[in-house]
Amino acid sequence: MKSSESGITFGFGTAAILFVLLAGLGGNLKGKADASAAIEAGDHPESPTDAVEAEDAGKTPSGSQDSRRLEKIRGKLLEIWKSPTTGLFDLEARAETSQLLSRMSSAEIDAFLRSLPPGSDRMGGTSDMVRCVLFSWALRDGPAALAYLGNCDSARSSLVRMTTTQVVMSWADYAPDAALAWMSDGTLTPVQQERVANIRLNSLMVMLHSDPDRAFTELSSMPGNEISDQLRLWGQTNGKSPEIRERLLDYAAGTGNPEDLAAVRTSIAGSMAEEDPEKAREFVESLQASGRELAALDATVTVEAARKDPESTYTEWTQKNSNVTEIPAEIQFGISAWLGRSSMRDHDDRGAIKWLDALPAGGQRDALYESSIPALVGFRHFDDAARMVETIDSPSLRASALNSLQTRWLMEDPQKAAAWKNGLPAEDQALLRK
Amino acid sequence: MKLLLLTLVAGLLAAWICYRVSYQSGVATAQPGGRISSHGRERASREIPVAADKIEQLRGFLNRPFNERGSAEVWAVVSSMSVAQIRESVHMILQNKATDSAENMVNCLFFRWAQIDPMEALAAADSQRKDGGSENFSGALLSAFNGWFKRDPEAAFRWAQTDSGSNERFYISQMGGYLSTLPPTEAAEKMKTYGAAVIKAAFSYRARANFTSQEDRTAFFTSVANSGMNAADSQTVLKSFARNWGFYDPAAALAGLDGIPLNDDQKSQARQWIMAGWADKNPIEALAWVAKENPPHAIADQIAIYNKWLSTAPKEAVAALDELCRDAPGFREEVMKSQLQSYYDEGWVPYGRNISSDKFLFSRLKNHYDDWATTAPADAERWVGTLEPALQQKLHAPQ
Repeated sequence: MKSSESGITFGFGTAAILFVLLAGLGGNLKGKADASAAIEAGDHPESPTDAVEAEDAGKTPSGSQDSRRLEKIRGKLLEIWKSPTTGLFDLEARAETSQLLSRMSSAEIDAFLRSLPPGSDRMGGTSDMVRCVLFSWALRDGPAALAYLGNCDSARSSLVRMTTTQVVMSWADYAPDAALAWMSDGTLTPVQQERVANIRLNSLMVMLHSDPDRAFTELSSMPGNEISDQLRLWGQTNGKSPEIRERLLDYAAGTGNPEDLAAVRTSIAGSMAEEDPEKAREFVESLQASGRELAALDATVTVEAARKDPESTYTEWTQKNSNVTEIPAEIQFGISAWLGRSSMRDHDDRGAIKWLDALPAGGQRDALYESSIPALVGFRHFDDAARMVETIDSPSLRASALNSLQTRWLMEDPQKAAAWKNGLPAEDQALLRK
Repeated sequence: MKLLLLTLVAGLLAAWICYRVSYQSGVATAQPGGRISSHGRERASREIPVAADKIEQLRGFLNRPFNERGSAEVWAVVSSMSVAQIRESVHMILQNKATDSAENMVNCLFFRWAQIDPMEALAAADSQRKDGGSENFSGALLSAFNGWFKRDPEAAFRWAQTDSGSNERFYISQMGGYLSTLPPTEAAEKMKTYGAAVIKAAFSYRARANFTSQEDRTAFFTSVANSGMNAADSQTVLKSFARNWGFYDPAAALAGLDGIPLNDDQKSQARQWIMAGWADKNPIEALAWVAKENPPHAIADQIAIYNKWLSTAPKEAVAALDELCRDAPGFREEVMKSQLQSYYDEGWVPYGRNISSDKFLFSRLKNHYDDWATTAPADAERWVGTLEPALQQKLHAPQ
């Protein structure tokens, strides 16, 4: 009897253990299968943002629940961005922030930002959190986000000004009607009012890509001077696109301001030359421009082409313009930029100075030397500037160069400037203003 | 009977526990938060069969404008992708134009890829950098680095030290930022294994902490002194510290500098940075404070604040100029001198000076001259007579 009882007990015990093991195995397999399905469906119930949602879902929040919910969201947001190494490049942090914000009302986002300690908009991770929040918030409630920006403690700081422009640009790309209406709204703060032209300009630039028809329509409602600025900028940034190029030229021809057309043609030529100087030259030829406009177009294309190959491009320009004794501003600044590049620490090849030194004597060289003095001094090539001034034959250009060098050198290094001045021949000293 | 019930309960409990454990670990392996070993391979990165719908979803996002909401939607898709899906998605997007949306997607994909398999992601991003040129989808490598750095900063930084690209400063800054978040003793210990640049970055980050007591500030500068940093690096750290303190409470910062272990030169430098920060934040308040000080501050301090104001609110600054000149003799001459200096000297950096910046600098000088010529024409004429003839002509001509 005892043995049969113990046999039953043993049999039951074994079955019980087997049952428990099988139940465990079943649970394990089911868990794995469900996890796979959840992953496949992109469903992550354990993510930080969902933890907040899961607890709050389906509840009508009471006052205290509401404040608990907000406190949780606030805690999550600060947790996500607590490290100074979390920046806008952290796409995961940005997405989580966006999700958390979708559970807050506009007023709650406003209160959240205002509750941050002073300086949060400029400190490590939290400064990027503030920007991320503003970008998201503006898509939902642009006026509220911009009212916050316009009234925040550092509304004037360059960081806030830049953020304001970027936020409006993103908003205008997403909801152009609302963003454009805000720009004409009387609720802008004085600081925003001052900058609204610039903000509009940047927003329409974005719109030019997403909705060119709308961008051109909006352009027509802008003040005349802003239209001119915008046309020039659009030419610079979109001149490479054949469709936009044609529209810009047509539009500029119809504004009634002849300078608009000239500015658009020049900016398009420059934009095309950045990529393909030959195509830009063909474009310039097709315009059949003459006189000053042709000179300006030629100078613009030259400067852009010179970014890749300054030496041969400027040599070609000087050969083509050997009679020119007044150097166009574009060429002056183009050579200055070359001087700057060849003065960089890791690129100190003195290429521009060698090229200037090798120019044949004459009126054109005098003019190029005189117009290069500010840049030579600006890049601290005092001795080269002094050497070039001594070779200028034209008395008026020589006097101008001497004065220009003296003024600048005195500001930078009075002792060396005085030594240089004292060493000048009497006739040069006489050319210096008293 | 009891035994039967017990067995049933035990079975249910075992099933539930095993279900939770296997579900959690299954989700965690594919979660953005899944842990990654320092060797760069996620233990349980599983190849989920490619779900075409996710890749199609991304394709559908390609032509949308890029914004925060869209980016979050992209991440929601990407964050649950397997490596195979990521690879296929990257391939699909790279066939398209490099729009902002497409670049964001590629960045999201590489960020996520590196969270699952950093070495493979970095190798793919590196080959994309070499094959795709520098202009298109250039953020892939940094995104992969960032994805990994977020999970395992030290391993990611070890890899970064082998990268021959141009991101060195970014890597150093990230590592410095990470070290600054560690407890000071642990950070000090780890710093020993890194170079001077990382140490400087770490202290610069810590310098921006909101110190609440003089003891904390003193302890901070003691640790700076003990760090073995060279003078130039210490100067950079001091600048971060001074500008930050000056932002929060400039008046207290100016008064509190004396209690910190700094030499006289450092204190004088710190004062200038605090003033610069104050001028950036609230130039009117800063000017009023400087004017009230006894003995009065050097006029150069007031000019520096005025110039800062001019850069953020030119109309307001010029409008306030007459009053400022009344209160401080010699202020006008010094303002003109600084405007002249900036007209001659500003922007001479590569790509800095051009036709429009030249026009801008001249118009600022001319506005000041015109304002002076209206309020005190004789003084303005005397001043303009001291300039080079070409500039005199330009200033006299209408703008």
